[in-house]
Amino acid sequence: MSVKDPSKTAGSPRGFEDEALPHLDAVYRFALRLSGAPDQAEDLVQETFLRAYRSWDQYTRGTAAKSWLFTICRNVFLRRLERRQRHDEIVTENVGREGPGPSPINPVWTSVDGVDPEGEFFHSIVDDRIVEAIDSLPEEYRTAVVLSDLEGLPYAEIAELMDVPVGTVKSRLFRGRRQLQKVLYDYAVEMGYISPRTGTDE
Amino acid sequence: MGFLDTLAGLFGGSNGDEPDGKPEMASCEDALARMQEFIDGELEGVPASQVEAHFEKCQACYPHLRFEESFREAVQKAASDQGAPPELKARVLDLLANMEQ
Repeated sequence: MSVKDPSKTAGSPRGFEDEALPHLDAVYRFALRLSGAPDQAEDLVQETFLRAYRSWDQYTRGTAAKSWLFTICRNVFLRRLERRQRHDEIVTENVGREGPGPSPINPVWTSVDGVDPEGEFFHSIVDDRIVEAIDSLPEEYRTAVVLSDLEGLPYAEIAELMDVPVGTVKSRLFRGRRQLQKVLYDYAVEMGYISPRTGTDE
Repeated sequence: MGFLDTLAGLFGGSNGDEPDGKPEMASCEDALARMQEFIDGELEGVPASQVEAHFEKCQACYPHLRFEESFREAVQKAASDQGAPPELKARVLDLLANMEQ
């Protein structure tokens, strides 16, 4: 329903408490993965709820409040990042051209075929190292993977939140997950959780 | 099950036209190409049961699905239980209370 019914807008602090505040944990988790630092995440959360509160009359009750809060949170994060980059002239890693899709055959899977084809090694890796690997992804991939795999948002909501077509979300998820698998695989090899294939076929 | 078997599967190992009459099953190529959407519950244009049937029956493709699921489980387990610190919750509530005045 695109027509906004005034009776359906929350508008009151009361509605805000009931609909927005329950997502504080989720917004904090998202902010933590965006910024990678607890103090920055706390700052982002405060700013997000402040802005959300101020524009609460623009929120239509019944739509996904969590996605709405995530959108505000990401916008605040990106604006701050932009400002800092302009200031320090830091160029962060950018996601490459989203050209032709990668092969359906996963190169990481090929590396473990015959050794651990069902990916048991993922469970040998400590949580902190996995979180670190997520944080190492470029923002476009990281946000898509976090929203899908950690928050369980559908493609359509992620697309709206990131302001890109659904096809782009699929491609970012695909590439982001592959990249994450590669980082985790390299770590597992380094730690001796898994031995790399010798190149000969068994 | 080697990489070559997978390739063989991709290029016609089981193409969904098997003599035992299971035309409703997706081919290896289709199943692998749609695996992400299948796991995400976002398949379009093909019933999930077709893709599921393929992974259940195809020994070449099944490990691919397990590998992906194992990865997702590990990621979810590692990062989804972090909640906001209680002090932050209190601070946000204070902030909002001040705005109401």
